[in-house]
Amino acid sequence: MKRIFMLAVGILLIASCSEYESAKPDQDVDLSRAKAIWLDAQSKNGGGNNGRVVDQLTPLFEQYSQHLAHNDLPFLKIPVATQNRVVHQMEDVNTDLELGSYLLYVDNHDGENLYLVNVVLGEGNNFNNGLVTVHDLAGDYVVGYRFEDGEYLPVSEEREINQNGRSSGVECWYVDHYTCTVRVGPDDCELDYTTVHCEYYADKPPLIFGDGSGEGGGSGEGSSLINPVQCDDGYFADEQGRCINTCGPGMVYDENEGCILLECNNGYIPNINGECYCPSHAEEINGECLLKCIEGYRRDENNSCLQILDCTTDDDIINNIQSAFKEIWEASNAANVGVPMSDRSEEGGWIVENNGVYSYVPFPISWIRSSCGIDPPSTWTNDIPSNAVGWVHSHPFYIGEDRQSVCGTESVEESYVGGPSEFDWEALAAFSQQIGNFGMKAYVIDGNSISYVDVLRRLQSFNRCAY
Amino acid sequence: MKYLKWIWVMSMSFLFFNSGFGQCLGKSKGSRALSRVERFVTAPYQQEKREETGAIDESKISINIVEDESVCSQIEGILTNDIKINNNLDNPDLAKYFYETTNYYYAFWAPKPEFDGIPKTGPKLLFVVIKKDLSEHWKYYL
Repeated sequence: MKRIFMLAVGILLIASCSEYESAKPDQDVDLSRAKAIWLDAQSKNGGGNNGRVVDQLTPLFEQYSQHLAHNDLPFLKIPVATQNRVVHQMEDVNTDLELGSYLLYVDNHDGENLYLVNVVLGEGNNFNNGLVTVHDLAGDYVVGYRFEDGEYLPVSEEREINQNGRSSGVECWYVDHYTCTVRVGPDDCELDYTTVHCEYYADKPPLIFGDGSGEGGGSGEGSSLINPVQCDDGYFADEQGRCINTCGPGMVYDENEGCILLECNNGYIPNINGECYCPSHAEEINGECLLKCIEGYRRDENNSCLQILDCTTDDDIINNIQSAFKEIWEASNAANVGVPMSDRSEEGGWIVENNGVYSYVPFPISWIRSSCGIDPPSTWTNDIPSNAVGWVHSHPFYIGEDRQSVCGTESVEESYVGGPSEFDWEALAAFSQQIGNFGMKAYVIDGNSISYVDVLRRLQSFNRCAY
Repeated sequence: MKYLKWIWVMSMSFLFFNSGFGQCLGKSKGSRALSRVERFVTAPYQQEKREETGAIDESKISINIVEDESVCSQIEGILTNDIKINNNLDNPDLAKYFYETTNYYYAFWAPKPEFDGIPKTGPKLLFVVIKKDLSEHWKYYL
């Protein structure tokens, strides 16, 4: 958990090397009081007296703060009184104060700043899962990370505060989905697509700090930010002390403050007010809410972000007949996993060379195509060009697809693993022998990669690219 | 007449058990099937699998079709019970073959003998290597 704070500190640039006495906090500090002292100290500092702002806070820190010196990046944390009952409950059993709300002091080239850090845990109060968000004292969102099983995912936030002062909104985060091909090693992973997950909340304390006049918003002991009402799981306490149902992800309030499911189309997502909207990480184009992909990624037809791969390989044939690979794949009718396997077919042909220039010649139509193979006629020997240097065909499948039914046999692997088969190598051997060219290669293109095998059974794989 | 009836029954029984209806279906020697076993036993690219199974000293000349019906039945049992091949799908172009070398059995699918000499593309197919004491088996898709 402490790494989370380091992450936040990192985002907020490098903190200064201030030294403070460690002191175990003996009670919570009212956030409004901290805010008031801070603004007061800033005001005095701005007046030109007394040096650093943080010095003005020394009495407060000495009384309530704890100095954490992780990795020599000092910052002060002050457990802040909060309405978040979960935090309070967990703080009771977690003496290390690793979750809750904290004041984060940062001194860098931008000057001294104080931030509010909120750490909440995920389902089951599991310390491996949760959310850390950082707001400035104006209540503006600065940065956030969702941590899931030790992984940190950036979070964007849309926040709304309703008329009751109740804070509600939606937090969204990106999840990258990878396909890893075990066959060529555990590190050979490709980003398949990125999805966006959003979670609704309605039980966070409002981040309102008064008018910023330096008076601390008139707050102090007995601030309205302190809410003693404790509600059961699934409910939060509003300003009037009522326990209100907490709507889960994808749910919105109806007129009776019950939770109903709201469905949105075309990439839009529902917000807490029962409206479908396009979040900041996406853009509206012709009535659709489409993901904005970061540099190096492109948006595909399924509104997912795919990594743009380098199309250059060290294989001259692939480099020279990329259009043929595209043609073969399109003819295979396997544009995506949604196409029924029975509608797809293997396609292929010869790779021929004329004066150092490679080109592609499709197999004759007498070579029968199906989803699971190409069957030449008995007169196949007449169809091989004498200048063939290779042959290529498609496997119209994606890694992991179960094609037993379409191939008509249980002896096919349940989960397609890719690459040339014994059939493919035997055909290469027959073709090579027929024309006396044992330098021929057999290329295979499938939904995930391009690979080839030579007569010595050497195998090489390449990324699928624009073809 | 009585003897003729007896002779007819015996003849039919002989034809039944020698026409592939027993467990040893792969008695016809498909050249492509045989070459797949040969490659498993000798080809450099199969060295890793040979080491995994321990079949490192099997010779090409020891390759034979399994003809012992009781052995074929035991191999069928492994395919059905351990590999979970229930013969629910039947590709008419493929046949099941049982081969053996000195210390191992090989159960696998390959094109029927009538397709010998005609190249074709196709999927990776199950190739099971079984120790002759039936104590261990390994499953590959080739």
